[in-house]
Amino acid sequence: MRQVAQPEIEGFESIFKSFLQTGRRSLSLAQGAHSGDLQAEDLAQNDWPLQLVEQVKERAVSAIRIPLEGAVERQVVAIDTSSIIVAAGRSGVAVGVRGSVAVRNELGLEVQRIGPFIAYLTHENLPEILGSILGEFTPLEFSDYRLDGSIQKILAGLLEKRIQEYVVRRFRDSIILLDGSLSAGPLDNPLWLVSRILDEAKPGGNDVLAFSKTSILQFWASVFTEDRLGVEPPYLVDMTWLIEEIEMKVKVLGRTYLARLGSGLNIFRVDASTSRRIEEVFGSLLRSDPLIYGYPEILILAHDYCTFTRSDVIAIQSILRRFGAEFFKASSIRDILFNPLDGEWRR
Amino acid sequence: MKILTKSGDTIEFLASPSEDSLTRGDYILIIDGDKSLLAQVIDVEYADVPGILEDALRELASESMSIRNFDPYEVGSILMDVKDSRRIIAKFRGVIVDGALRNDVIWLPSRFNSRIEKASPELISELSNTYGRRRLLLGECMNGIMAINAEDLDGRLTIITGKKETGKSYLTKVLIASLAEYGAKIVVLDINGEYLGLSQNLDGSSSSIADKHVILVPGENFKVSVEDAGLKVMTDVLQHILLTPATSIREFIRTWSLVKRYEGRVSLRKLIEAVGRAQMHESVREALMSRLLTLSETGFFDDENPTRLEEVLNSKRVGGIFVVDLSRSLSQTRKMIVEFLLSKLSSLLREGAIDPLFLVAEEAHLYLRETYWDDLVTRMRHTGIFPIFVTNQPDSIPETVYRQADNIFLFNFTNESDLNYIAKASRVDADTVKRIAKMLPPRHCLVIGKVVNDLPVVVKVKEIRLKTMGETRLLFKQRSA
Repeated sequence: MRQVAQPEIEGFESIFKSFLQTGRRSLSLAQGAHSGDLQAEDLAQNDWPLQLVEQVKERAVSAIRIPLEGAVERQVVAIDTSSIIVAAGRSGVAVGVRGSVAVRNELGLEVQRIGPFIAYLTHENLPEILGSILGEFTPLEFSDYRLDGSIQKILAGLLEKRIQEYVVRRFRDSIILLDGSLSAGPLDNPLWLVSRILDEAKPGGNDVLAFSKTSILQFWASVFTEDRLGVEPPYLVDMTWLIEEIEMKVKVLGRTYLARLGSGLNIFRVDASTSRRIEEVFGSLLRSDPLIYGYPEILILAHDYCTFTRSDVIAIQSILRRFGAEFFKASSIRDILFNPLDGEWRR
Repeated sequence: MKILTKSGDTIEFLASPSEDSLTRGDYILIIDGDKSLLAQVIDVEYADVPGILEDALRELASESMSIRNFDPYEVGSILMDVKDSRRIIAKFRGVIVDGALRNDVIWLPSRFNSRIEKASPELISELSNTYGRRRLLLGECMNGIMAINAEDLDGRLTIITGKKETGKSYLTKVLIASLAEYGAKIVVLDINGEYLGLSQNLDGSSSSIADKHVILVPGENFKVSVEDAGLKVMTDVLQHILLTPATSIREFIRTWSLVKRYEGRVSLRKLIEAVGRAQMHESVREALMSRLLTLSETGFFDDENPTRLEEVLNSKRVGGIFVVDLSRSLSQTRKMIVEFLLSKLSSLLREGAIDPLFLVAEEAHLYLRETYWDDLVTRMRHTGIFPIFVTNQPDSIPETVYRQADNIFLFNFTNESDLNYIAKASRVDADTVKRIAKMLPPRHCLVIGKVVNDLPVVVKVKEIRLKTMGETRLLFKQRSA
């Protein structure tokens, strides 16, 4: 494995100093909050226009084979974040957010967990807290952000960007794997920030690959079948033309591919920002990291180590309790009020 | 600590690992207002924390990885506490109202507003105390002193049981030494010679009970006349111990009557002569003669200079420990001695010739006829023999005896079937017996019954300076020295 000496992952106290200060300050507002239903991050899913589907079916599309022979082993770094609403009060919500960086190289596997960070978000402190994640210079349009169901995803997205920025600056000659896409435009992916991350990755020889498990692009796997393409996995299908062709609210930075890396049916959307040939980067990835159902294992590890377990939630809630939050299962209120005796399952 | 559930008489608590350490047998008080609920810890387990399997699998899978954490809120340390939180299983023992423990009060303390604390040893000592003024120091309980009243052993049936080398004999010695100091008389059926050294301290000096200690060695300073034994005991010995056929027993009874009528007094020598002379079938004569000669060879019968048992027992006016050394006797002789002794003690008590006494019977199944168990725990108890059974084989004592036991001192048992046997017949719920007894360290026992006012307590038996002679003699100990 060609290896460049990598820096220690450290210095988070100073990187997140501002976020920690505002977060801690916000917790004093948590008095009277109660436990909320644990919400998963929402996934948007749109339908493709039928007309487009018909057009594309006629289009000549070829696959890019990924050669494994001669592929160079490289250091692989995966980044992921997770968030959870742990309490809700009259004026806001308490959110826990945690990131992880998993590194696989010839020395083995190392995982750095960053967080959890805890903040009590209100309409009033939202701009300050979101801004504090990104540091001192934060050209965010605060008026765009709302304290609604998407806020935990936005918080996790911004933290993720901050960690990504840290990683691309610190690491050299690595394949950096992200969870999601390189779409810029949504509130958790500001264009200027995504662009900055990708720009900063290149001078260090880093290649950025963003894997999306749930993308509407995966629909096209049923159109561009192996039979039609005449290839065996592992291969890629360049879909950048499709993204450029359709009108989208977001801008995708880098190129977009459908990637079938393993022999199974699983196919993923991968956005790539690289100065190397794409098949070379994927060849190195396959050499350096095992696949689980066609998905890089290290990304799964990064996901696992940032995801909140029920014990994590209990621990965070116990911290919030110090700030006056009360905890009970919110859904049981209904039972308390309407089914006090035996109506546990009646609705 | 928080109350988690109460189901029947079982109460479960959730406790953080940093809270006071609790051990099986400890008591917990749940205080709410002017009432307190008393519960005894019978087990401590890990709490069923949500997502613990996921956490454990993740940690297991990451053992080969290097994991680092930047944890600004120190959630990790709280998480460790959460993961290590304990589920304390306890048994309801009653509600304390106005300082008195009551079982008839239906009351539950608040789950969230009650105060939960470890009960003090003084409180447990006070609640388990009964009426009596002869305090008998047993040892330690919950880091306090634990004493019982000697009066609660008086007239009672007591069982001391546990597996080998857990401290049964040790406790027995503590009990009998204290009872003797209070003036009680105790007859010990000593099958292993463990009670022969009670007159000495460990350092060889004379013990405080030396003047109360009497050793009776059958065939030496303990001999009886057949007249003293009486016709019933002799026929019982012949029938049940020497397995004499019924026809021969009838001839023996006839011969006994003839000797009595013509000689005025019955002796073993005269019985042997009469059997030799009398008209009876040769096979019957041979059967009787061989058995009477066996009796003669034991050396236990001496018609000329018999031991007057009542004189021996009455020789100690202010308490005595009378150890009948059965360690050197053959199995049949042992049974014979016990048969005589029990019968004689019963008749002496009925006559008022001796005071009531305690009878310590170690591994009684080795010398006690089956039909005697019921006799001992019912009829003989009423006449004034108060048995203390000591055994490492709990199923050697009939279940009916356990059911009538007033006090049980239960040492460690690991065998499930032993625990099941005791559990179904003791004075406390099966869970308590099984969970506590299984984990008791040596010299710790669970005390159940009247001596503790039916409030089970775990006691570490105090040390005594007496020469106990209960240790197993080892072959290799000498070589390593």
